[in-house]
Amino acid sequence: MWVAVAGIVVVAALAAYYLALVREPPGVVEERPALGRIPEGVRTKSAVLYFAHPDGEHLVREVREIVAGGGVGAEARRVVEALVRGPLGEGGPTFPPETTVESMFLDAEGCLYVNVGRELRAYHWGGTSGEILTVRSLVRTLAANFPEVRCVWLLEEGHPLETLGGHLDLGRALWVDDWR
Amino acid sequence: MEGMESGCVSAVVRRTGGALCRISALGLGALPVRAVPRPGRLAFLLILGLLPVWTGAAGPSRAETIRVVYTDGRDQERLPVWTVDGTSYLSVNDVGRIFNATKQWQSALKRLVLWYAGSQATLTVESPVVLVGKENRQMRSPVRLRRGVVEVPLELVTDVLPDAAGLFASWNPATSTLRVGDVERSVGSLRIRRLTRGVRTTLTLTEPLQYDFDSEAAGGYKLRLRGARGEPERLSRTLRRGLVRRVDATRVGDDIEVLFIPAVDDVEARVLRHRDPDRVVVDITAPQGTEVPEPPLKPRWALAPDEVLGREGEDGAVGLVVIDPGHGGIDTGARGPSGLQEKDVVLDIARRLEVLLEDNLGIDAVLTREVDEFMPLRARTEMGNALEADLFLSIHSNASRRPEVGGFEVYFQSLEMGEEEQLVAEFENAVLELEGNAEAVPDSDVPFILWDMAQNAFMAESSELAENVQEALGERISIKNRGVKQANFVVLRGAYMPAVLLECGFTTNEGEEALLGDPEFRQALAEGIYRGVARFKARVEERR
Repeated sequence: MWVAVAGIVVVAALAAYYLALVREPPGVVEERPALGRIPEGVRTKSAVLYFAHPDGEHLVREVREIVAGGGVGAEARRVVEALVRGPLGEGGPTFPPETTVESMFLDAEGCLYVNVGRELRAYHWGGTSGEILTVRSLVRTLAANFPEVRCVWLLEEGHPLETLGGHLDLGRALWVDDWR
Repeated sequence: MEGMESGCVSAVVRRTGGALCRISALGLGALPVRAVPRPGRLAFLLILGLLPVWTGAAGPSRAETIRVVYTDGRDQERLPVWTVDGTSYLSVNDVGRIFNATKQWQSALKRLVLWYAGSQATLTVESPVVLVGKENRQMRSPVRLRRGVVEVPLELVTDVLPDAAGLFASWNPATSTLRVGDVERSVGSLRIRRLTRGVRTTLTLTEPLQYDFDSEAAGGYKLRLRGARGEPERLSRTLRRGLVRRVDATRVGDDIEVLFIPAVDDVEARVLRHRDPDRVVVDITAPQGTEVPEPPLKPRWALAPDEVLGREGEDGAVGLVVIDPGHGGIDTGARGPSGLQEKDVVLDIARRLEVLLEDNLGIDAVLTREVDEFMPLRARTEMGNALEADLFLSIHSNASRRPEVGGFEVYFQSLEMGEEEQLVAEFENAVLELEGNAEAVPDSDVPFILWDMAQNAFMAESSELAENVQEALGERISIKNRGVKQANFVVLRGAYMPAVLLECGFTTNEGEEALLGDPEFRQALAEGIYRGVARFKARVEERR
């Protein structure tokens, strides 16, 4: 009889230790272990991405690995593409997944031209809140990763956009300091 | 009762009337209970009950963060750390962020190379030795690899890496704060923003500093940051417009002095200190009604006799209001889950508001669109300007991807510093061209630039109107009050009068969609807006 009791105790103890080992250290936030894994043989850097907070107004931060190299334009493009792919944590997406990035260019004055395809405006969900979140997430994300970027200009197929959904004025450069 | 619940101690049955036994029977239900003798079942329950205690004790503990404050002006960050065997560890990805590093992983050798600040560091999993440049540095604890994430001891960040590359790093264990950057600076950044009635300067500090503020200083206001380190010249700024002409930062002994030179004499200054991040905020504002001498928006010789900014209605300050129902025609605006369309809702609210304003305040109200038709954004503002309206109100309803988001908010135009600098530069260039050749036909760009800047002149009134409407709406309806906000809207941009944009709830929120579909609620909205306008009108007319 006592053998059975001892057996139960041993099984329970083993279960306890197994659970303890497998459980995540509570300090790892915003990043699943799979994301933290650095791809083999390629040079990467950690990028901060800002997604939508559930309150529909603020932003939520995530950190992701992106491939490094190719200059600010190339790295910024990868960062924006990561934004478009969407959040893996609790935040909400700020770009429609259909968005395509056509090109990116950083000029001598520190203004980054983000040239997207027609899909962004076509598939954007609209609403003042929605437009503000998209722009805020884009500018804050680029500013957080590229200190040389002082302003961001969103273009559609090479032309300035008036708005995304009829509210926010996008016809000029968006200055990073204005969007903190 | 005796013997009814198998596996239960009879004493327990008597006390609880079998309830406890039924619960435990559920837990033991999966097991061949009859095979386990009675004392064993109790032991099993005890073990199950103690399981949380054991799992808690065995694993890595305490979710902590460290604060990283950058001396180069980057925003501070909180990064997660955890303790393993008494040592604090963090993810190498966060280390990469701190030093703007790129990384490469070689899984066969379990080696990670970090490139940062012109140096190269090589880490090997399970080794406490770091190869930086050509030197080997020994840490107290090894690098770990857990579930694909490389974890490094905190000392890599506080000592090894900065030291090897000649960077500045200072770790305060008491506050768990790391100050790091290329060199040591007490002031990370100086940022300037326009307020409705003045200028706000925010100095973000990398450490808490004592300061003095002298309002009687020669030339302006002097902020003295005691014991501040680093070169201050990079903080100085000259502004083309606004209440503050120049911000001058100089070193005086151990301190940094920041002199704020205002454009006029009659200003007020206020200093506030904030924590987390540590910052000192200096607000320089003009009391209501102060005239700030801005460079004229048009050269004097180009001003037409009847062109006046801040124009007033004939019988009072507010005689004509233009109401702009958003969207229309092919542009439906936001749609709710059961099909309610923003364009229809806002048109109805606008019509009700028109009636209230005309009947109760005796002022003229005009709608930019009377029917369900498309109207370009600029055309709406142009209409308001052409009619020389005294107020412009654009009515919208909001949308969000999250259906639980709801509430109303009132916007007025935001004054974006960077953009304003750009506009002023364009304007000044255009004017210079004109002045160079007085006979030439005025550049067609100049009126456009002026039109863009028009709202700036009405910033204070727009803010006041927004507050009044927001307050009155809050008294009349009970959905969430999201407050007064600022944003750069196309439709508010060139308005030559105080202008606001109202978001009357979220069509994407089921409850609010239902409310917006209810005529009584729409009437309440219209009443709230009307009362706000009435308050604004009364205040403005009182001041004349």
